[in-house]
Parts: sequence; C-alpha cells; structure tokens
Amino acid sequence: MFIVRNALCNVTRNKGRNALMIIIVAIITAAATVALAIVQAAQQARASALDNTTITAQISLDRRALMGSTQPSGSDGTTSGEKPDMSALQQSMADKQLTLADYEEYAKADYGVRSSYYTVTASLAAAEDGIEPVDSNGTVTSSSEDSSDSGTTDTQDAPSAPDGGMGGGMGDMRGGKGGMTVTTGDFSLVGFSSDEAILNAPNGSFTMSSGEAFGYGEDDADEVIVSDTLAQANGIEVGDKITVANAADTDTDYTFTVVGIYSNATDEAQPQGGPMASTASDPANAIYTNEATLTKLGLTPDKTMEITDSRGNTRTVQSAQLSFTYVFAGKEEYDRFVEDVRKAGLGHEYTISSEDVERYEQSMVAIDNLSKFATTMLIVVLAVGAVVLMVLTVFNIRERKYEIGVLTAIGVKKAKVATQFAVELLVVTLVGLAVGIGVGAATSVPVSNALLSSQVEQQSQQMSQFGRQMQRPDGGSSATDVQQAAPQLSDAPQGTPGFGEHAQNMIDQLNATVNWATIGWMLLVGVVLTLLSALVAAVFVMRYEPLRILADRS
Amino acid sequence: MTDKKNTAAPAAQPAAALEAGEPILRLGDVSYAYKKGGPLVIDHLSYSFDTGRVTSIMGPSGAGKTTLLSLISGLTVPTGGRVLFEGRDLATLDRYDYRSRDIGVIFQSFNLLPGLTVLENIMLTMDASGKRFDRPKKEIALELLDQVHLPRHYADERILHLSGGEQQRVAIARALSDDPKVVIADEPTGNLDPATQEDIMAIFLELAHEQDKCVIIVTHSPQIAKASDTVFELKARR
Repeated sequence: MFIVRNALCNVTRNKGRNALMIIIVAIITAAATVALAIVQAAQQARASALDNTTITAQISLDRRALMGSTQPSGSDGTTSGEKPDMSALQQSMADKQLTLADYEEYAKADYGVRSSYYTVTASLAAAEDGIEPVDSNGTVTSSSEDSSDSGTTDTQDAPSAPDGGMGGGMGDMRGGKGGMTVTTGDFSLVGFSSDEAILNAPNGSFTMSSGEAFGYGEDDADEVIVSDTLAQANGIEVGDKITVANAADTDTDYTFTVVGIYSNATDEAQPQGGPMASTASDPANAIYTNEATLTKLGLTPDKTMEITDSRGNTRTVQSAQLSFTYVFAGKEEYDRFVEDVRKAGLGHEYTISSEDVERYEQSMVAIDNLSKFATTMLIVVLAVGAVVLMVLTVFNIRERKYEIGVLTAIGVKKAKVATQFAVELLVVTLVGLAVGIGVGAATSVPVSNALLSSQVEQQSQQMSQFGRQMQRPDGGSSATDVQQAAPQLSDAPQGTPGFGEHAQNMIDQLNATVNWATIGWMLLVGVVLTLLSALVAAVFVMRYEPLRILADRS
Repeated sequence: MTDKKNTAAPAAQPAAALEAGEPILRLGDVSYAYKKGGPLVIDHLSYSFDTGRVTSIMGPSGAGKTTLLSLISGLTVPTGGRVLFEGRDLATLDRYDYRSRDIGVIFQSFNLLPGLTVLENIMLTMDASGKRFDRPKKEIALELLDQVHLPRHYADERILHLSGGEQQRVAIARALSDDPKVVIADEPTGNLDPATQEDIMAIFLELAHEQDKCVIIVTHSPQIAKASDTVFELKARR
C-alpha cells in the first residue's frame, strides 16, 4: 500500500522533527518503564518475600481488650488515670488463659499449621546452698534479696501498656509469648517441647559449647543445660548437679543434672529490663530443659503459686508460662489459619500474631512507600506523556495542513491520509518506545535502589525516633513501665531489640529489572496512547475541506 | 450576474458536438453560493467542454473563475444544477476517485509536496490513482518529464530547489501522470517569462490535439486565450 510506503518515507524525510519526537517519547517511556518496573518488583517482592520461609505465629491474650471489658468507666487504663480493677482483671486473665490443650486444638493441619512447638517457662530462685545467678554486671550476686525484691512485680500485673503508641500495641501482642516475660526469681527454667522449639529459643539461637542437649523422654526429666556465663560464674561442668529453689517457696529445692553448657549466639551482658529487672530475665540465667522436667516438678501453666510483692501483698500467679508457637509453610497458610481459628471460635480478646509477618510488614515499609511513589509517578508520567503526545501530534498536523490539502486534492481519500499520519506516528513512537524501554531497562535497577535506599534512610530515622522513646530509661517512669518495655524488647528477633533494628531490616534492595511483562505493558500503553493521538490526527484530517487547497498557496 | 445570455462563446460554439453525444464535461444550469441563501457566485451557468480541444475560461477577478475551477475539479459540488462527467453527476460520484483518476489539475501555486523529489511527486499521484500501469511507474514518470520539457536529471531534485517554471512543468507532469481524460490548469503561465509561456501552451495544445484530451485553462492572459481553441468568458457580477 503506497500510503504506508509514503509514511515510512516521510519518517526519514522529516528527520529533525521526528528525532525530537523520538527523544520526547523515549524520555517519557524511560520514566514510565522505571516506575512500572518498580511497581512490579515491589509486588513481586511482596508476594515472594515469605514464599520460601516458614512463618511462626502465636495466639495471645490481648490485655488491653480484656481491660476494656473489666473497666466500665471507659478509661483506657493509663497509669496516671484511674486504675482498673486489678483483681477482676486478674481473674478474667486467669479464666481466659489458654491451656496447652486449647493451643493444641488449633494446631491442626486443616488450619494450615505445618507443625507446632511450645516452651514452658517457670522462674526459680537461688537455693541457699545452690548456684547463684549472674547479675547485670556479669558477676555472681552474693545475695538474691535485691533481685527477688525487684522481681516481685510480674509483667502480668502491669496495669497498662504505655499510652497510645505503637510500642504499647506491640507489647500487648507479644506479652503472651512468655519466654522471658517471667521476671520473678533469679533463674528462668525453660522447658522445650521439641528440637524445633530449641531452634527458636526465646533468647535466640545457641550452640552447645560442651556436653550435649537433653532428650525429651521421661527419663531425661532432670537433665538441663546452662549458659556458659552461668557455668563459668558457678564453676559448673558437664555432669555436675545444680540446686535451685522454687520461686514462691524457697524451702522447696530442685536438683538437676547439667548435661551440657550452651553458648548464646548473641551475648548480652546487660539484661534488657534495666537496673531494676529481675536477674531471671538475664539470658545468662536461663536454664534450659525439656518440657517433661517442668511437668514432673509441677511447674505447669495450669498450676498457680502465691508470691508476695514488696508491699506485702500476696498474689496468685501461674507457676509457669506457656508459649505456644504455630509454624506455617507460608503466608497463605498463616492467613488461612487466622481465618479458620476465628471461625473455630477464638474470641477477639485473643490476638493472633506473627513476628515473621510483622517483621515482613516492617521490611516492606520502604518498598511499599517506593511502590506508592512509583505508582504516582507512573500515572503522572503517562498522563503528561499522553498530553504531550497529543499536543505534538496536533502541532505536527497543523503544520502539515498543506500536505493534507495536496493529498486530498490529488484524490487520496481522507481515511488514507489519516492512516498515513497514524503510521508515521506509530513508527516514530515505536522507535521512541524502544529507545525509552532500553534506557529504562538499563537504569531501572540503580534508580530504584537509589530511591529505595533514600526511603529506607527516611524510615530508619523515623523508626529510631520511636526506638529512643521506647527505650528511654526515664527516672520518672515506674518500674512497671520499664518492665513493660522489657518483654517487647527481649522478644524482638535475634534477641536484639528495637525498632531501629526493624528499620535496618527493611528490604533495601529491589530487583527492579525490566522483564517481558514490563516491556509488554509499556508497548501496550505506548501503542494505545499513539492510537489515541492518531485519532486526534484523524479528526483533524477528516475536518479538512479539500476546497481549502485553493487558498493554500504556500 | 452571469447568466446564459451573457455567456459568450465566440470561437464557434460546437453545436454539432453537443448533439452528436454527451460531452466529456458539462455544466448543467450550475449555481453556487458559499453560504446557503447567500449571493450566487455562479448563477445558472451551462456549458460543455469537449475532448481534443483547449478551452480557456476568462473573466475579470470576481467573476467566479476559481469557483468554477473547484466545481469542475470536484473539490466541491454546486448548490444548484449539475456538473456532469461523461453524463454522470459529479455529486453522485466518488469525487476522490474522480480527482485521482479522471482529471489532472495543475494548481496556480502548483501544490507540489516540497519535501518530495520531482519523481516522488509524480509517482505519488500515480499511486493515488490506484490505476495499473503496464510499464514501471518510474519509466512513465521520466517520459512525462520529457513531455513537459524538463531534463531527466531533475528527477531526484527536491521541489524546493526548482524554479517557478520548472515547478510548473512538474505540476503538469504530475497532472498527466495517471493519464486523465481532462486536464485543468489554473493560471498556468502566471509568473512565467514569455518563452516559457509559449512552451507550456504548446504542451497543452499537443495534449488536446494529439492525445485527444479535454484541456481547460483558467487564465487572464489574452495570449493564452488567443492560442486556445475555445474561450469561455465569464462576466463580472454586478
């Protein structure tokens, strides 16, 4: 068809004009390609971040929801406000506490649970002739009085979370994890249900420095492993027997056989709870054993014991805390679990939470922001591109009125003239698209990573501000406040706490490579915009009166 | 106002031809107004154009020469009456086809495409006509250059590089390229020197007399009128 040939010839005839057009289209396309690549990469990152990793989740009692229900006054239970009815709260807490059977009820494969494990944590006191705990300075305390005094306030008694903020919410969610939340006593005795539980030990992963880990049978019921710090401080060696006392009743002694000495992957000299925290919260004072040991000793979550606090008040607390963890093959299973468990009747006073998912959400903050930015950029660039393309087309075609006149005068039908202009436009924009996609493909990875790193930096700054507020060892804050902070912090991944840490964990690399899907989309969008512009050109051509050629004497 | 009575056809109106058969192009009581209900630029005009003759349309400015040109070249249709090509009403024909196949128009300002070469301009018209040619188009185009007395080395020149007279010859070659039955020229010798004028006129006479085409020339020039076979004079509107 001669019209197409003529169009192709015209493309080379008007080099300057078409080169300008190609450059403009290429710039717009490059920007749009990068934006699209970022959006797609972000979507992919979101979809694949949890693909090949298992997710663990806990069900915990939402203190705040419970407090709301026991407090008709409607105050949100701040320390400065009216205190909630503590005994009622405690009673309802006790009633609502899930038992091991309850937890196991939900650990069904039908709900998407791949496996589950749990730890039971009890606190122990130093026995008169037994080992001494390691205090915050890493030395053996001569007396346990200080620590047991300060340790009498259990986290469960904490009247409230710090007001408002993110930290408070997260503290509530994590409060039930248990592991290190027991802050009474001098030692914490952690009973693991399986090797999987050990792998996810509350104080982070550890390695055996001597001896070997305990078994899970009834026969292994008095076998324990102690931290290398504690072993060193007390001169414990593998095979030794250690004696500790019941936290509530120091006359009751327990004797264990040390079968191994472990070394925490991250060594924290300073327990997280601050100077007034119990030494039991110090990872060094954690004695690990199997779950059967605690059962044998009667230190189970369904039993209670009485403790006396510094004001002489006696309260009943659980003998041990249960931390039950569900393991899922992926995010999809976790989401299904959340849905199914709610359907199965888990009340809304319970929170289902997953650190993996939270961490994942945290890690996605920068990418999500970047993705939002890229989406906005994409829309703006495409809108501007569409307008620019149309304006250029209109100017172009106005300039070429004479040509339209000549062509129609010699009998070329308007539709063919419009086709010629459309083909010309298409050829030029296709070249521009190709160049733009090429440039976009070459620059999308460095550009997106530069944008992402600035996002990460920005988020980190914001996060670290939160972090400082949370960790502030303010003299004005009460002991409960400090302790409130402790569990959240010690619960943080890898035992290294803080929100700043989360920020650093944000994904700061995005594989925004231009793939075939990106190219396909860009071509589609480009061709659609070109055809739209061609339509404008066609309207212009159709409105041209051939008679006007007689007036066009240029 | 121009009407039939005022229409002069001094050079022996060929009544015999009219009776013998339908002329190639006939104006049948044609009127034209630019606006509906507006003044008539052409008022009830009838005339026949024959093949094998050169007809000059003369008249002072404002007599409707350009309007008449646009009517017979199918750029527009009359508001009253009919323009008949081989007995068929132009208003009912596809005037794009009519323009591209049946007639060749040489515009006053040539209206060549400046970005194209001489050959491209000519061949574009051949393409647009949709006609089949028994020889390569380039060969025909080069022969047309011979016919309009333009040296062949001009073939690949851009139109912009040509003089007025040369452009005029290209415009004629383009008009002839698809072998039309009617050739219409608007002031073809307007800005040309006398020698070139004569040469151009000779080409038109040759087209009419030897190739039996109907040649219609709109002109102010008495020399052209004198050299043509028939003069159709439009009277100025009062």
